[in-house]
Amino acid sequence: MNLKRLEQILAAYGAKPERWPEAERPAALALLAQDARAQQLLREARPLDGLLDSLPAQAPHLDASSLAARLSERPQEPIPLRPSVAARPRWRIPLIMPNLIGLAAAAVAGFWIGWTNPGTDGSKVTELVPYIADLGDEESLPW
Amino acid sequence: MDPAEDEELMLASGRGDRAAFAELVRRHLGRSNAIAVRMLGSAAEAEEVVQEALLRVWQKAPSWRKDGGARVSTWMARVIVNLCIDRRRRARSVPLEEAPEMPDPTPGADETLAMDERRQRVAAALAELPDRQRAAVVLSYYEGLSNAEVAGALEISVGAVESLLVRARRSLAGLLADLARTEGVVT
Repeated sequence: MNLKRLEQILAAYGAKPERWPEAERPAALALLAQDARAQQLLREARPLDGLLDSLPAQAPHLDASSLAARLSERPQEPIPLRPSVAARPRWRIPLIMPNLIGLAAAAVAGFWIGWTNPGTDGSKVTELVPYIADLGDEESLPW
Repeated sequence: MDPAEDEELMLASGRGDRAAFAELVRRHLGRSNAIAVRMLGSAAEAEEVVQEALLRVWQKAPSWRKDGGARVSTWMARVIVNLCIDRRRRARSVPLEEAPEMPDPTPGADETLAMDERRQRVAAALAELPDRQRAAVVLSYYEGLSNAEVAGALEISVGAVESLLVRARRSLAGLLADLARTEGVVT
């Protein structure tokens, strides 16, 4: 806390410490206790507070109970359903999910094809890919 | 006022609990009225605004969410201030010479003419302030709301609250300088 900050506090909140920001109040009061210039600033802020305080607080003429009874006879507004929320399905697929779903579908399809495949013994393979059987002892395929 | 109790009353009001709403009105009527009177400078207009604000509280209560962010009191202050600002904008503007009505809270008391004039000057000076500055003074100085609450009610940053208050008090000091000098008001 320094004089400049105290001046700002007085300019914003007035001369009464209970209106000052709570966190700064102890430091401001400590400065006031020891600094004549700070005390002068406080004195200068007081007249405006005095004028503002002359404006009375006014009690309402309305009676709370009868007012509440009268107002609560009116219908309440239903909870608004935002269109985007209403149209939205209860569950949502995160952005990453379509990729994972595609991957899983491909895996299932591959597994199914493999499971229902006629088999991988040599004869069946040669039926499927005849030219592989003709390779004989060649070490590598032509591509 | 306990904010948690306000929340419960608001939620109960939202379920159509008229007794809970009555309690909410009882708790907030005084402050709401005080804010409106100082914002508008007219007790009659303030009552209209307060009734409109409390009707909104009742009607909107079903939509209130406990974790919605704002406190009930802050939200109500925001509704009152906005209604007051709307009303003033529709009825621009009150000249300084026509001091706003600020009835004496203690009828029959032997208030001096000088005191009445001083009150009217202060009310008129408040009325001269731009809407947000006046609202900041009313909520912070008169109603004792914290800067965070004022910021929530005015939908501005906490840092901007102090700036508004400084400008408001500077303007008030200028408008009331002669009064402060001649009457030497000291608290």
